[in-house]
Amino acid sequence: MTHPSPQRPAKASLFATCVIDQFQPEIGESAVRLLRRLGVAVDFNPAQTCCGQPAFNSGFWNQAKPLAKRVLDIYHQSEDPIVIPSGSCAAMIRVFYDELFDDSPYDLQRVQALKPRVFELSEFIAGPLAITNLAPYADSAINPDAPNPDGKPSADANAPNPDGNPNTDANADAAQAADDNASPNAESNPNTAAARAQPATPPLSVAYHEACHLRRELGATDRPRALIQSLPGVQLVEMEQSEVCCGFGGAFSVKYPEISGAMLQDKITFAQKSGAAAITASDASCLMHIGGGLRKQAVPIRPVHFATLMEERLSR
Amino acid sequence: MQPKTKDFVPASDAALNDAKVQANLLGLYGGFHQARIDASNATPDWDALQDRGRAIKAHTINNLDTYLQMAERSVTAAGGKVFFAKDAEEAAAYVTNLAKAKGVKTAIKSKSMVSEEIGLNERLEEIGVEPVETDLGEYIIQLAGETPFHIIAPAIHKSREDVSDLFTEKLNSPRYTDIDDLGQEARRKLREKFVIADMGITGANFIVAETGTIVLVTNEGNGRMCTSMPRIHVAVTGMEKVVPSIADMGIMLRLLIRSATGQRISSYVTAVTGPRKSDDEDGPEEFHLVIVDNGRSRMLADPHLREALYCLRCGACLNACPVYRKVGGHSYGWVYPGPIGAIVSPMLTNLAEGKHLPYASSLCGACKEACPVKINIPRMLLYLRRQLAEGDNYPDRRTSSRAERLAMKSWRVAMANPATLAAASAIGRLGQSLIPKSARSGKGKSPVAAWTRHRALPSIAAATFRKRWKRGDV
Repeated sequence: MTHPSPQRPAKASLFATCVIDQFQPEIGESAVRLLRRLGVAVDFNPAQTCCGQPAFNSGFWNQAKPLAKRVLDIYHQSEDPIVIPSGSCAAMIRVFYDELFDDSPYDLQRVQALKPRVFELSEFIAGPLAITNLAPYADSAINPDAPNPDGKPSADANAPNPDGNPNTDANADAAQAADDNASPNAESNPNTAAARAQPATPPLSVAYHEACHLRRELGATDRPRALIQSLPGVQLVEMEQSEVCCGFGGAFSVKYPEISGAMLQDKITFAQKSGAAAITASDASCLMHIGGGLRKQAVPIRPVHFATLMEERLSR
Repeated sequence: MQPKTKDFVPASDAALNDAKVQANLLGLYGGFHQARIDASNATPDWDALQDRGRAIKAHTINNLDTYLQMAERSVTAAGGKVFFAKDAEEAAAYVTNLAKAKGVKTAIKSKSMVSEEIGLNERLEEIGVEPVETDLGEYIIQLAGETPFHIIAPAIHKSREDVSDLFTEKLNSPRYTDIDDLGQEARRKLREKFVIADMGITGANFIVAETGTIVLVTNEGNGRMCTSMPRIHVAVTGMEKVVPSIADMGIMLRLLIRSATGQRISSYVTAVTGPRKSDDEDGPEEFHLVIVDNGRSRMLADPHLREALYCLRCGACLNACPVYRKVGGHSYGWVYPGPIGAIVSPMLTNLAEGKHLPYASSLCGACKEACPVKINIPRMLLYLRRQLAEGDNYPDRRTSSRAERLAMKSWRVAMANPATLAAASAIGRLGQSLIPKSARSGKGKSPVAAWTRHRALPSIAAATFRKRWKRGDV
C-alpha cells in the first residue's frame, strides 16, 4: 500500500507497541533515533498501551474492542503520521480493525480516517519520506561543515554516541536488553568495538526474515530489503524460505508449542545455512521468538530489529 | 468418514515425531508449492485471472439455487438423473440402493473427496460391493486402510519403500523398488477391475449448469475409464462445484490445474454429459449425479463463511501452509486438511469437536497468498475463533474455558491504561523472577516449560520504553 505524500512529514508519532515497550524498549529507542536522523521530529503519546491484536487473534473480540477504541481515541485528534516498528500491529490497525468494527459504523468511520496515517516503519521511510537509500544519512557520510542533505537538524548528527550503541548509559535494564539481543559469541561478531576499530571491517552479513503481516497484509516485500541493502557496512544475504512464518503467531506458540517449535527449527536451520551473522525483521515479536530459539541453542546469530540495525549502522 | 478432529493435538504430536512423515513432507515446499508459484508467474495476467475466477465462484455461490436447478434440468435433458442429498447418509444410501437395484458387484472409483466425506467405500462393502480406488494414490491408501493425507496427493506421506512393502503384503507382489515397476504392478491389478466393474464412481471438479456436463481433472486416465467402461456412472460431488457455463472452464481449469500441480494442463481433462447416446460407440447406459449438501448450506447461510464454498480443492493452501507442512493431513482428523480444511472440516462436522483446527494456524496468511480464487482463509479462521472464544452470534458454539476467558479479561484490564499496565508490568517482573530454573530450561509440564523447550524465555525490561521516554533517555 502506498500513501500519497504531497509533503514530506516533519513530525511523526511513534506507536511503540506493547512488545517493544515491555520487552525490547531499545528497539523503540532505535526507532526514535533513526527517525530523527532522517529529519523527522518524533512524538510519543504515553497513553498508548496495545492495539488489541493478542485478544483479537485469540477470538476475544469483545476484549480487543476497548483497546482498539482506545487507539482510535488517542490518535484521532492529531494529524501526524503514526509510525509503528511492527508490521503486525500496523496490519492490525490498517486491515483488521475493519473486521473488528464491522458492526460499529461510528468506529469504522474513525478507522477509515486513521488508516491513511498509519505506517509500519520501513513503509514510512520508503513511502512518505521517499528514502530508498539510507547511506547518505550515515554519520560517516555527513560532512559536518557542509549543509546536510535533507534539512536534518544538525543537533541530531552529533547526538549519537560514539560507538553507535544505543545502550551506552549502561544502566541495568539496558544491560539486560543488550544481553537479550546479544550474540552469544560477541567476540566473533564484527559488530564489536574491537572489530570496528579495524579500518577494513568486513560488512555485517544480515539475513532478512519477512514478517508475515508486513508481507501478506501490508504487501511489503522488496522495499525493506532495499533499505537494509542500502546500509553502509551491511551485506544482505538471502535466506531460504525467508517468507515462511517463524512459528510465533502469538498465542499459537503457546497453544501449540511443538508445532511452533518445529517451524522455528526450520527458521534457525535456514538462518544458519545462510551464513549470516545477524537476522533482521520488522517485528520485535518474530525476533523475540527467533532470538529465543537461537539463544536456546546457543547459535551465534544475532537477532536484530531493523530499526536497531539501521540506526546502529548509520551511527558509525 | 468418522471425524477425529478433536484429536488434533495428539495426532499432530505423533506426526511431528514420525521421522518418515516428516521426511516425506519436506518435498512439498520445493515441489507442489514452488510449481504453483512458477506456473502462476508464467501465466500472463494471473492476478486478473484469479479475480475473474473468484467473481465466477462468487456469482455462482450467491445464486446457487438458480444454478443447481439449471444443472438439474440440463443433466436430466441429457438423459442423466440428479439426486440432491441433504447429508452423507442420503448420498451414500442413494448410491448403495442403486448398486443393489442394478446388481452391482464391483465399483471402480476415480478420486473423489466427497465420496470419502460420505464414507461411501465402507457402505458399499457392507452390501457386498467391492469398491476399488483406481487413482494410484487412493489405491495405495485404500490398501493401507488409511484416509487421504492430502487433497490432490492422498499418499504423499508414503515413501517408495512404504509402497513396496504394502504391495508385497497386500497384493502378494514381488518386491518392486523401482517407481515405474510399482506403477506397472498397480496398473496390472487395476486393469482386471476396470474390465469387470459394473459401476464407475467419480467426483466432479466442476458441474457445468448450462450443459449438464461434469468436468474431471486427472493425470492417470483412470477417471476416463471410470466414466466410460462400466455400465453405470455415478458422479458424487459437493453442491458448490457448479459453475454457470462451459465458457467458464477456460478460466477455472487454468486456475485449478496450475495451482494444484503447476501443470499448464493435466494429462486428462474429461467432460461428460449424460449417459451414452444412441449413436455413441461406448459409454455408460446410466448416468447419475449426486449433489451433496452435508452441511454446506450452513456455510452458505453465513456471509462470513460463504467464501469457503469458492474452494476448488486444488490443495495449494496445504502446500503453502507451514503448519500443514509440519503436521500433515491426518492430524486434521477428517477428509479436508490444511487451512481450508480448518474451516470446512469443523463446519461440515462439529465445530466444538474441531475447535483446535481454527486455532492451529499462526495466521501467517500463506494460504491466502496461494489461493487461486483469493479466499481469505485467515479472516474466516478469526471468525470461527471468535465464535469458539466468545460465542458471539452463536452462543452454543462457545468452547473456551473459564480460565481462558479470565486470562483474556485480565490481560485486557492490564492493558486498559498506562497505570494498570505499569502495575501489571511490575507483577510480571516479580512473576518472572519466580519462574523456577527447571521451567526456564524446558523441563516439566508447565506451559512455561512447553514454550522454553524450544526457546529461551524473554524478560520484561527493567525500564519500559515509556519510562525511558519519560526520563529523557531518548
